[in-house]
Amino acid sequence: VTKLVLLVEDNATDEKLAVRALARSGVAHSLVIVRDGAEALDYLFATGTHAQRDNALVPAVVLLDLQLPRIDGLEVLRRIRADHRTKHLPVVVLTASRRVEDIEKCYALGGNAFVRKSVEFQDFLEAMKTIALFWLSLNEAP
Amino acid sequence: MRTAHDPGMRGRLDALGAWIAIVMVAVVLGLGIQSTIALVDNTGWIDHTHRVIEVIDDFEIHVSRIVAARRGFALTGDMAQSAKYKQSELGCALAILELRILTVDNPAQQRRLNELAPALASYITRWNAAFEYRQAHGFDAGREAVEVRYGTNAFADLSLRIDELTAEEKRLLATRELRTTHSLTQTRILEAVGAGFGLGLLAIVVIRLRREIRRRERSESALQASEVAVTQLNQELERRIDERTAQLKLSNDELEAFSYSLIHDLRAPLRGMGSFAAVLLDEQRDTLDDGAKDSLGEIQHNARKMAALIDALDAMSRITRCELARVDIDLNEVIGASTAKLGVVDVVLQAELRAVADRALVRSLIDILVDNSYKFTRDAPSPRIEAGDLQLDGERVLFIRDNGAGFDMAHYDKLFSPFGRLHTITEFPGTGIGLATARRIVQRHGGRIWADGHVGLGATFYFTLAARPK
Repeated sequence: VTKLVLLVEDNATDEKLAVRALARSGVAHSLVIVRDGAEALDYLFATGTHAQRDNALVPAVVLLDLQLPRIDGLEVLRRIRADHRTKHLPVVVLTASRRVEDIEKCYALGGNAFVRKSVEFQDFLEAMKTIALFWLSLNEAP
Repeated sequence: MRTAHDPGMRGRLDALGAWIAIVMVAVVLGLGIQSTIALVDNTGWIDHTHRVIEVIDDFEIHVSRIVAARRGFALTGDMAQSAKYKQSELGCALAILELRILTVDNPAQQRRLNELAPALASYITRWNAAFEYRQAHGFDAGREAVEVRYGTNAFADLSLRIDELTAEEKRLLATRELRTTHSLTQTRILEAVGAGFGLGLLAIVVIRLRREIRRRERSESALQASEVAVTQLNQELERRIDERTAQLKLSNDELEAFSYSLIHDLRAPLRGMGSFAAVLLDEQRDTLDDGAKDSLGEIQHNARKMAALIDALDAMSRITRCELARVDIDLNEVIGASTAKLGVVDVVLQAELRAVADRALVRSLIDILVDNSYKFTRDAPSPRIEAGDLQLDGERVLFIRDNGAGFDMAHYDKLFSPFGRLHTITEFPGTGIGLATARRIVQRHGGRIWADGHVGLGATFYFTLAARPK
């Protein structure tokens, strides 16, 4: 059974880059992409447009952008931690932000990691490969 | 020039008037008391004179009793008349004694009294002779007549002296009564004039004081009115300041949000461009010719440059946003850390260099200045960076000096402005906002930054990390 990655990303270019980088990581996975915070929550709690999803499909890791339409990344993180079904779900914040405040808020809300999206594609490839290796093969999900 | 309209001068005039009025009243009071004492004294003297006249009258009565007794005895030979005579003789003597005492201050009266005593004595002697004759020889009308006549002469002499005494006292009485009347009139005039003048002066002072009080009340109410106006003005100013502060805060917040999303939104497409150029170069390296690879390399290069620029702008905007945490910092250590990253360069430090400032910001500041110095000493034969402090007009100034390319002071105004360059980007590459960031950091600490440079001779950057001491 391949492990599931939930990618929360509104930017189509960033999405393509992430898909490409994950594909080149060499780690087997399946990928679900949602494009805003509300849809991410719908998927996780099987509500709204995702009400019919297969309950067995629980993500091994959520890659969460902070700047999202409708419900922003930090609010999504807060709601994930507030619900008993998802409170232990591994969440990696993947953002372009370099602000110390954002890092602090991320950890204060219970984020598991904070990774910056590098402008250098080579660096981004390395980062995604490390994330995939760690969260999909090394780490034991709850 | 002082005039009567001058409040100080006016006050002094009123005080002077009041004092004159008080002195006048005191003088009038003093003169009145003096005059009353004189009057009482004079009245005493009048009483005294009356008493003297009374005693003279007594004396005269006693003398006339002596005459009566003498005549009675001469006519009747009654010895009882003799006893009356003796009594009156004693009365006369007592009267003379009292008169002497009463007129002790009057030599003329004393002299008259001196003459009165022998006159009385001779009168009495005369009478005694007649008495003894009558006792020895019985009544002899002729002899009696002679004695009586003689006695009458002696009595006339005595009577004259008594009249003189009385006349003197009556003259004295008249004089004293006149003096009393005169003194009374004078006192009344003095009192009337003095009291009138004093009261007049007091009235003037009171009127002036009332006017002054009214004037002060007016100016006081004017002052109160102006105080109210000032308070209102202050409140209005405070309200406006609050309003402006709120507006400023709002626009700051807006600017902050704007720069945040600008930086974020600029990074995303940049990342796309750079990354897809990299993807092409990587995945299509076998099918692309050298020209295409070179172009893709240029895209990547420019994307990197723009990313660095955005990072620098983000860092600069962070300076004004962050909390300032002042701690004691070893600047030599910070400079050491900055220069350690660099290539071959001679670093000259002084023994001890410390500052109380925000550690993260000072680290950025030193990084910028050291990087700057390093960059411009690139072509120097023996690159050197020197750091230290010095006293300038009572203020501690830190400096970082290099022996690099320097700059032309003619373009100094561009040195610290964002994207202001004194060299072409190909000469010395950089984001162009390093020194603008440095200036923001020192300004955030309340300090200043300035520079001194000469083309080919290096540059010195001076800065302070605290407000200039007052």
